[in-house]
Amino acid sequence: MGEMPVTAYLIVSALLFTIGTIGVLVRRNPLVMFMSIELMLNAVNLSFMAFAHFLNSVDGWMFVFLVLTVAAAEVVVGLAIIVSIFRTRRSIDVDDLNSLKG
Amino acid sequence: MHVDLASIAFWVIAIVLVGASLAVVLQRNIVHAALALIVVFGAAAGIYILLNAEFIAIVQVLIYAGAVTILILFAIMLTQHSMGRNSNPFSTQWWLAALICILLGGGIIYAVGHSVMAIGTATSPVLLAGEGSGVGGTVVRLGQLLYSPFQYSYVLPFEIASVVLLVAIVGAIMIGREEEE
Amino acid sequence: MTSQITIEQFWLLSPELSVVLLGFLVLGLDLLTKRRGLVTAVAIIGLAVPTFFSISLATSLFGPRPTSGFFGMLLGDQYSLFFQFLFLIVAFGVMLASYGYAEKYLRVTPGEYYSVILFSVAGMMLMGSTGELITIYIALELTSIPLYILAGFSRTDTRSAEAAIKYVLLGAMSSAILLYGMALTYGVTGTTDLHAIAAVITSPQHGILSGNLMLLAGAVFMFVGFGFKISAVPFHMWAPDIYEGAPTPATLFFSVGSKAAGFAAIMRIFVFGGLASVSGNYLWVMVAIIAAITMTLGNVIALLQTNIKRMMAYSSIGQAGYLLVGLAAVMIHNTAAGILGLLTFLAVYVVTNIGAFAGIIGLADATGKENIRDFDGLGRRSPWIAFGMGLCLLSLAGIPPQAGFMSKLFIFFAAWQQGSGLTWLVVLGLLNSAIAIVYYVNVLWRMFAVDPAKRDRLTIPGSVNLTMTLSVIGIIALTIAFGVLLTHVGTSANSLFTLH
Repeated sequence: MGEMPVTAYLIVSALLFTIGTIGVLVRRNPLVMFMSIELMLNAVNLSFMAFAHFLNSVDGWMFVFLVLTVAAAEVVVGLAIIVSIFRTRRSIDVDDLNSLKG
Repeated sequence: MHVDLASIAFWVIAIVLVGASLAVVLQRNIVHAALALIVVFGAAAGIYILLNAEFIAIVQVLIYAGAVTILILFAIMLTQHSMGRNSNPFSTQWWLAALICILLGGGIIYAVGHSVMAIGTATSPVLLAGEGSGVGGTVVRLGQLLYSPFQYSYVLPFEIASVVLLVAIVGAIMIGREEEE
Repeated sequence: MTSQITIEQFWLLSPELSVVLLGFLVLGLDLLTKRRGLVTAVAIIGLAVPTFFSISLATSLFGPRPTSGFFGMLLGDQYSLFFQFLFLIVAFGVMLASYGYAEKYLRVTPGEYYSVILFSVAGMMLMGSTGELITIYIALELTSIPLYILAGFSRTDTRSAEAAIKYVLLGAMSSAILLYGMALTYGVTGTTDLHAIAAVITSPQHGILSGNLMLLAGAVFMFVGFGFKISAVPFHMWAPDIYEGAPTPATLFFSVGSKAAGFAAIMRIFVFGGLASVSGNYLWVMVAIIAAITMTLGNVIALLQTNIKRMMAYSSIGQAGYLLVGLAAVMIHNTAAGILGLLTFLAVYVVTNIGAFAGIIGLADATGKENIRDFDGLGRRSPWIAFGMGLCLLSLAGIPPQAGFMSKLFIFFAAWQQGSGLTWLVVLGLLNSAIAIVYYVNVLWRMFAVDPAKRDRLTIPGSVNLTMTLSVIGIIALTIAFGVLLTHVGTSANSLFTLH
């Protein structure tokens, strides 16, 4: 099992991270941006797991475990804010949010 | 190149993973994007199994594919009027952002391919394939590594993470609840 | 490194632990009483407990202070202590300044409001005192999640919710980038313990690390991740919107807390963790360029602002630029002089910014307005607030002989000493200081030389007046006793190097 070189895992992870970053920068719907951030976090976790396997240590698992927990907490707060803004605005396109100028 | 089952499985999962993540980013229909996200989480769990990390794979399915996507789907249900094509627009300067990111991604892949890795020794070099990896072995080791006070363990970040969870609960309630008079 | 957890290690953790417990207490107090004054008093006076523990650590009251705890994840050096005291001051200033404002404009119970601030402060203190990458990430999240919540606190104001959503999205993205940097660093060095990373990097047989692209990518990503927190250009986009949209006391908290915590972690990772000293990666060039763009953009755009909170946002971006000049000086030759300048600057910045924002909060509280033209004639309508705010703005502008001038001088001097590589940056910094004087003095001119539309005296809440008084005393004390500050900060700066 697991005969693939670590580089292969890392390249998949880098691709996933890039796609996630593109998603955050390109899409304007906060929910899709959030999903893209989840892609980025999964890319990070994939890297940690690949390195852990490569280094033959479970340290990397620990990081994934903690990152998973904390990232879920971040999602909860983010979605709460998105739902609350919808209540006042009835629209959640980031470009529509222009009572503040960039 | 020697072709074995694990390699084939890896390539299949990797293609599904990248394809589904592209779908998350490119889908115009937001519900489809969320469904593609579930596929991404599942495929990532598959890769963890290939890396002999069954426990993390299960946690990944439970938390990400289970809890997080359900949360996102609920948020979509609560906020989107129509599930039509315009529910999910693109930014006007998408090509610039995409170009920068693709250059960035190429840079990372180049760096990954051309760098020496794993120079130091791991802090706790135990053992995915070594002596402790019998039935339950890695899980026992993980437990020790999480909160054992007697040997090297990540008890401090674990405890801080618990405070983070509490703050998130308090915060979500504060932001999400209706105005009371 | 001790191999198991002992009671001394809990003593080392006690300042952060007691801040968290105080947060629980304040949150629970909400159930028992509806009196705002009582809850606020408990939150503010309760800070005496962590302060006592920090002092006990600083003076080794209960025996020798342990140098590290929890398997090297918590460090007990002077540097951690410096940031503990700094963030306790931040907590005190923010909570005191927001008492009247929170009552008037925020629809949350005081217990919720103060407990969220306290949890965030605990995270900031941990960011300065942990010596392991993943712990730093989690401490960062403990800092940021309360900040997201604070940004969206005035739930009826749509601007506040918009600010919060932008902040959450950019913040979450920046922590993902930071984590990727940590993952790459872990992959190269095989560990996330900063002590061990430094050992790998500095050990002579590992010259192969020179020019290692993955380590470079890891370092750059980590810097970018923190770049968001310290609002360095080009990752500053969130700052003006959040500053304007968030409730004013929360803005104060962002401008001092988030920035100081970001720099605390950057210095910990790059100097203590040795990432700045990898030969052949020209990190300092990147930092110097970002510093140049950050201070120029911040100061020039600040000139054009009409809203005082947006002006302060760009001003704080400019200040981040000066701090980055210090960081570039640290990175080029890994000297303690730059860190000394940075820490001194941060200490002075925190005290002066609390004072300046106390003025803004005072005006917003009394009139509900926050444009620069609303400061017309404040000198007559509320002389003490105008005087104190004027003093703070002059210190921020770097007018001698104030502490703000001397700390900025230290940063520029540290950069100047590094030789020709950073000379241009120092010259640019001085030019920027000249630009900055224009918009700070503009506010002063409006306060004292322009006739107000209304001549009525403003009723400023006592807590804001008290905050202003304390920060004026603080600035004067820092100016007079600048030498004392330097000695203490000097030992903190050196402690980043001595553990190696």
